[in-house]
Amino acid sequence: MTSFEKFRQQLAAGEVRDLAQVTIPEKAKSKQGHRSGIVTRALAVAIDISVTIVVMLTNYGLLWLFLLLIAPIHLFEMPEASWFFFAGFVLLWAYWTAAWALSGRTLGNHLMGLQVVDYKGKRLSWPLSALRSIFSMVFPVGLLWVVFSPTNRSIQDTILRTSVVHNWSVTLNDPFVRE
Amino acid sequence: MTTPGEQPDEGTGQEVVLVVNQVPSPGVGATNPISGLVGLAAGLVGAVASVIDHTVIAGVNAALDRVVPIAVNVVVDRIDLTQIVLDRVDIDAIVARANMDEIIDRVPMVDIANYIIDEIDLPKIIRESTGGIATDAVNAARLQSLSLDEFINKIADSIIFRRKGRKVESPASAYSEGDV
Repeated sequence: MTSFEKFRQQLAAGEVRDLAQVTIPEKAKSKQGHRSGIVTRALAVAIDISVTIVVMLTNYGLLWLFLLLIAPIHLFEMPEASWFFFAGFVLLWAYWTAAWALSGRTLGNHLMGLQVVDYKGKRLSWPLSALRSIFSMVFPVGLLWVVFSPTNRSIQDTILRTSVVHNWSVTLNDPFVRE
Repeated sequence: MTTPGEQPDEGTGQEVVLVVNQVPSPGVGATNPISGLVGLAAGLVGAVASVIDHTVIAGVNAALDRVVPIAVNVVVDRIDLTQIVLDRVDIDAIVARANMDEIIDRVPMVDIANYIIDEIDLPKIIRESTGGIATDAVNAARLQSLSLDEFINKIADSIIFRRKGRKVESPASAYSEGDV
């Protein structure tokens, strides 16, 4: 049995192991902190885009329902589909920017255990995050460079000196949290 | 069983009251002076006995109050009470008969629970061990894509005749920095 006193001593001595590591499978432990490959990254992007599409479709549906209910008034017409495409584009840009600048993870990143870091391994600054976000959206093919890059970097990563690394556990030891 | 001779001794208190009540009335004393005298005597004896009784008992009590603690201390000092209890008392039986519910009702369980949660930092453990959505299914999906990554990297490397392998270790990665 561990008394509080003993536990405190162990904690101070750093003998208490990081509990988050328990959940990481043995095979993946050695991969933590390594730059991710194309499949994982593409899946993460796909999840993010799917989320955006779902959000925009929901918005479209809600707006349609709203117009249906107030049909006699005819305040305004239903916007064109291209408008929603543009809105979704802006939404995804804002989402990626905020997610990378705040935690380094979008929902897709989080599910695939990825984290976007700068060349120091730190959180992206807001301008860098916004730049990387827009760069990724207007030039998505840049992601394919991961397949041939000697350091598993996309074109965007290479130019902006960022990395997408495996980090399967969200811990308080995370430098992002410590900052 | 009380013999007639002892009656005055035992019932003194009541009889004193009777006599005192009767003394002011001159008629009773005049009609039966002997019984009055006997009653008076009995009352006096009772009163004296009662006073003696009280004094003696008080004295003895005072003496005992002083002596007994000292005596008991002296005795207890010379014996190993704990060992005696351990040898002769079935503590398990006592515990088995104890009403734990009532004891637990009086223990501030919530405070203790909160204290324990604070001490072991349970929120941190939950946060770190679950990692949000990191369930087995998520881990399985991650492992699958990890294997696919390596497979594709291997193919790509062989296509472009890369022999050295990739340098995928991020030198200042979030993981290595946080985990050192």
